Amino acid sequence: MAHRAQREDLLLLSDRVEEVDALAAGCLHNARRQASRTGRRLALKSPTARLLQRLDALDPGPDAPAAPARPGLPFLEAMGARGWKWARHQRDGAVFAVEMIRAVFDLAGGRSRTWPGATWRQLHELGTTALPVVLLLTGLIGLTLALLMGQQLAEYGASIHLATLMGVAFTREVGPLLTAVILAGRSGSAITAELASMKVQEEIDALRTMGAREAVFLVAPRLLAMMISMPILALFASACGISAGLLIAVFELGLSPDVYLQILSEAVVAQDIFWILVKSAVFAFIIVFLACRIGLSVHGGSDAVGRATTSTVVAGIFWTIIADCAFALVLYL
Amino acid sequence: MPEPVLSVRDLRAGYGTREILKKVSVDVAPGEIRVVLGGSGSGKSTFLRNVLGLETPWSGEVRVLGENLAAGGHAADRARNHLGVLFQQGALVTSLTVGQNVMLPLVLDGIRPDGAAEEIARARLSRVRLSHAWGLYPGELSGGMRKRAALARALVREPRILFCDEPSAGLDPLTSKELDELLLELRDTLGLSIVLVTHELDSIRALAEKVLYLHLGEVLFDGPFQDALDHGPARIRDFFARRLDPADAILSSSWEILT
Repeated sequence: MAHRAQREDLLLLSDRVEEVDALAAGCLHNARRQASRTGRRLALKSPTARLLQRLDALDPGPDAPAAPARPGLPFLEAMGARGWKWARHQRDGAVFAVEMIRAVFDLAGGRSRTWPGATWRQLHELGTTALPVVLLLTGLIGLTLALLMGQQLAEYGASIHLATLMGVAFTREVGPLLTAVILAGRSGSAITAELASMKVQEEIDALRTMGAREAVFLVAPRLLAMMISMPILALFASACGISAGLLIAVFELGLSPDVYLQILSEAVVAQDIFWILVKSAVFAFIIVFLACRIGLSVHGGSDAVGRATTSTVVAGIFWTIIADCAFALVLYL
Repeated sequence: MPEPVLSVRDLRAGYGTREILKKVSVDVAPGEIRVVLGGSGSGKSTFLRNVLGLETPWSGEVRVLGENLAAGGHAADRARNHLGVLFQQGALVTSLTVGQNVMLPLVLDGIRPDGAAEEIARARLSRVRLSHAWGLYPGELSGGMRKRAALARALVREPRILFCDEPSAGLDPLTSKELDELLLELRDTLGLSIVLVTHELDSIRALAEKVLYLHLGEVLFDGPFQDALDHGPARIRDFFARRLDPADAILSSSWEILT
C-alpha cells in the first residue's frame, strides 16, 4: 500500500472498520507518510473513531525531533574517515598493549593492586584446567600424523626417520601452535566473556570508582597466568605428540623405543625448546591482548557479550597463525 | 551555609561531538539528600558518570571536599576516597564473595583482606543487616540483598558522600521501602550526604530534601522538593502530578498496552 501511495492518490473506505491491530495501523500510517512525501494524498472515507484513535497514537506529535538526515559522505571523505578511524583504533591498541605491560610491572612492584591470589587463580583456570584438553588433542593429532607419515616412510624403507619428523614438527610448529589455537578458543573466549559481562553489569565502573586500575586488577593477572602457563602447556603438548609418534613407531612400524628416542635426541636441539617457550609466550600475549581489549570495549547488552566472544576466538586464531608464520620466516628461511 | 561536600561548576560534557550537559552547576551540603530527576535523555546518567570521574568532562569543575575530581592524578584519588557509589544492579564482583566484595576497597588501599579489614567489612555488613551473607557469592543473592551488599561496600571507606543510581530499580515496593529507610538511617547516623538518581516517586517523597531537575542537559530547577511541587516550572509540576495521580498511572499503563 505504501508503494501505491507514492504513485497515486488513494481513497480507502473505512466506515466499516470495527477493529484495527497495531500492524494495520502502522501500515496505514506509513502509507500516509509516504504519500505526503511524494505530494500524493491518502484519504480515509468515514473512518471510525477507533481507527482514528489508533492512527493518532502513532503520530509522534509536533515536539518529536525530526529524523536526522544522513547524507552519504563523498567517496574520498568516506575513505579518509575510515582511515582515520582505523588509525585511531591502532593507536588505542598500541596504548592498551603498553598499559598491559606497565600493569604487570606495577603489580609486581606493588605500586598497584589486585585481589590477593588473583594470578594463582587465573593460573589454575587458564592453565591447569586446560591441560587435559591440550594433551588429548595434541596426542590424537600426533597419532594421526605419525600414522600417515609412518606409512609413507615405510614404503621407502625410511620408517626410522619418523622420530626426526615428529620431533621437528612438534617442537618447532605443531606443539606451540596447536596449544595456542586451543587456548585462543578456550581461555581467550572465557576471558572476553568474563570481562564483557563485568562491563555490561557496571562492575568495571564500580572498580574504577574504588580507584582500581582495570589493567592491573583484571588484565595483569590474566596476562601473567597465560604467559606462564602457555609455554609449559606447549612443552607438554609437544611431548605428548612425540609420545604418540613413539606408539606408532613401536606398534605399527616395529621400531625399538630406544632407537626412536636416540634419533629424536639427535633431531631436537636445545634451541628448539627455547623457541617453544618464546613463541608460546608471544602467542599468550596476543591472545590475552585481544581477549581483554575486545572484552573491555563491549557496549550494550548480553548479545554484545556473545559477539565479543566470537570476535576474540576468530581474531585470536588469526593473529596467532600470522605470528607463527612470521616466526617461521625469521627462524627457518 | 556550610562548605558543600560536592560542588559542580559549569559542567559541560557529552559523547563525541554531541553535547549532553550544558553548564550544569550544583552544590550539595553535608548531610543533605539531593535527588537528580529528569526525563529520558535529560543527561542524568551523563551527570552521574562525570561527577563520579567515569568520564572526562569537556569543561567545568567537580570538587569533592575541595579536591578537583576532574583534574585527575592524586587530587582525583583523594576525592575518590570520599565517594561511595551504589550502582543500579549493585555491580558486585561476581568472582568474589560478599565479604570479599565489601573488603575490596580496603584491599585496593593496600590493607590485607584479614584482621582489621575483615572486622570493618563485617561491621558494615551488619549495619545493612546482611551479616549472614558473608560467604555467599553475588549470584546467590536476591536483588535487594545484592543492593544492600553493594551499599556495605560503598560505606566501607567511610565516605562523606554516597551516590545511588536508581536504587529501587527492579525491587518490589516493600524491599524498595526498606532500602529507602536504610538510606535515611545511614544519613542520620553517619552524617552522609546522598545524591540519588531515581524515577521512583515513593523514594523521592521519602528521601528528597532538594531536587535537581535536568531537562535537555540544563538545570530546569534546583531547590527544595516542596518548592518544586508548589512553585516549580510547569514541566516539573506536570512530572510529579502525572506520577502522583494513580488514575493517570493506570491510564498510562493501559495506553502502553493499547499502542
